[in-house]
Amino acid sequence: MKKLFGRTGTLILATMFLGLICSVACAEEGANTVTPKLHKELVIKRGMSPEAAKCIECHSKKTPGIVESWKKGKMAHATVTCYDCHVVEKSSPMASQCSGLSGSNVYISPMVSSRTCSRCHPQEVEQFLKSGHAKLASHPVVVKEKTLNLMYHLEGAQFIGNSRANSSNWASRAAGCQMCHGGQVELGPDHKPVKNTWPGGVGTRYPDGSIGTCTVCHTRHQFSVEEARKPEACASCHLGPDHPDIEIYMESKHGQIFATQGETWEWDSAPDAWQPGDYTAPTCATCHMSGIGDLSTTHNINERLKWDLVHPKSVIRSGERGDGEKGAKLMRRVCANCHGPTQIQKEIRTLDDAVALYNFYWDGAVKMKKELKAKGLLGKDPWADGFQEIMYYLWHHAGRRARQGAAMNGPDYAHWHGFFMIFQMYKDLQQIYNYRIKNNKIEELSTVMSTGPL
Amino acid sequence: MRIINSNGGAVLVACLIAFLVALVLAFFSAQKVKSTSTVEFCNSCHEMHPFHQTWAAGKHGYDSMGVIRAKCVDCHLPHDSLWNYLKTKMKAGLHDMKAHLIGKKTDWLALWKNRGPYVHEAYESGCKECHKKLVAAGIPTKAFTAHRAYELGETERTCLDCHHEVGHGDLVSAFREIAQNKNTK
Repeated sequence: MKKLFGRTGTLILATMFLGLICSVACAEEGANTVTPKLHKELVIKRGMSPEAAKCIECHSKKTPGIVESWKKGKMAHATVTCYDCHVVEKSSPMASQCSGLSGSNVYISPMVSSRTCSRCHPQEVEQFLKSGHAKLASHPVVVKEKTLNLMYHLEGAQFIGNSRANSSNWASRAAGCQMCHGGQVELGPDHKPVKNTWPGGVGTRYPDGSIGTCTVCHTRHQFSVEEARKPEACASCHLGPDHPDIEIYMESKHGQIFATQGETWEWDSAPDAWQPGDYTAPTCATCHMSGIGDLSTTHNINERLKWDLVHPKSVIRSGERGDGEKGAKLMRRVCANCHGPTQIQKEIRTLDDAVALYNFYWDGAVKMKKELKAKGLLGKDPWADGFQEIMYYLWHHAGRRARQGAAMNGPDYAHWHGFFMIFQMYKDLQQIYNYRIKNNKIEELSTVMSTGPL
Repeated sequence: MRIINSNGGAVLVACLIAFLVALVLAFFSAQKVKSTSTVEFCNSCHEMHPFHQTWAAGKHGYDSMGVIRAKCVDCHLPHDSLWNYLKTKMKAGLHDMKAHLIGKKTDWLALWKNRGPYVHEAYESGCKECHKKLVAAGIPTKAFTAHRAYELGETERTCLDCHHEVGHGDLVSAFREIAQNKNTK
């Protein structure tokens, strides 16, 4: 008996020793491979297929950041997994395989468009596709001659010899334009994006013909409704000198209340049920998208708008840009949840008047430009011609600031960054116009030397 | 009186014969409707072989016991009314027969390229013949969410917009492989 125990004991000791050697060896091997430090092994079997569980298990080691983010979101709660959104048919132009899939008949794509989201959220995507956030958003990056010229010939420095074949030529597009507007995703022979055409912004056009990126506002991989309701979601694109919408909002009374009280608000109520009371002031989403009072949630951000405050001349929205008359009525109904008719009327009147004032300036500038053109007094290169450069900043920067500042209650933007600059720019335009008419020639040096008056 | 009687007898006989002929014809038609509704019949033309192969390997093909889950006509003919079913069957049947006889060649890949891979020639009423309850007890949460808008009639999308691969799997890939095999031969 004693002998037997002795033998068993030796055996156990020997096994433990072997195990120790193995684990040390494994640890040494592990130290040579790059494994993220946040190493958690997630084993989830509940409510998903073995294939779907495999993605999660592998990616919880390889890209833990993604899985950690996903598991906190509502998608994970609804057992929507990597597999549900990333798997594509073999024949998809975007189909490829990660190392974990090679050899299998499962194909995936890292690119996920609104078409995938529409399988569970059909109305949201239908509304979104009708809005300016879809095809219209990427139009300047994909189709419009003027902006293509701006991206590659001018900003890409083709005009001073940087060839279109150089990847640095696309840098401005890939780092700038495309990241908000979205562009056309181009693919290489391995079905992976090339020329830095992916990822991109809201209106991204995908190789399978689908359009739109929902993760711009509901960022991956939590896809949070709370996030999209916060002004920061919109602010990643709606900012800066040409459309300082977040700055205007933060300056407004709505923004003031958000900044001081927002932390205590209820952000996660169900869609359509997120109502005044959950918040004490609206965010961008509240007025432009959310269900409020008797209005339902919409993902068509044009739906509640009256004016086009984006283009050189402001007109009431129509056609593919919405229905302005209807939009005005809808926005009144939004306001009525918190404001009486007197104040609503004042705000609407203020915007209408600001639009009329801006258009008055713009019409005057257009008249001068026409006359200069007829007399051959307009420079061929608009970016080296003082009159045309100032005119650009008149509508694209100061003009938008004035109009959007008036629309969303940002007095500093309506006035100092807006009309105060517009009148001065207009006087400059007049000066150049008078000089050219009087002397019948264009100034030898452009009167605008830098990026112009901000 | 006799004349009427003799005439009446002739009419009666004529009616009886007409009835019998109609009965035989009806029986014949019904039999033909049935016999032309089998998978084997559809697959008897060589044009249908790739579709048959992809169907057999797909989700609606044969199960492990050899049982057919859905026949060609279950999806490719409308099931909203008998009249529509017969009318479409006749129309589609004549079209296919003509195409077969004149040896019409269809470049499916080229066709799908222009129309997008998700264009289908199946009827939703066929899906609904079997899949009656989309939001049934025990349905996974994600499927519940996905079918909710459809059940409420809030979307124009059809079953096939999402489940376009249920009939023949990845048909585009299959046809590409066929084209590739032809080229290598």
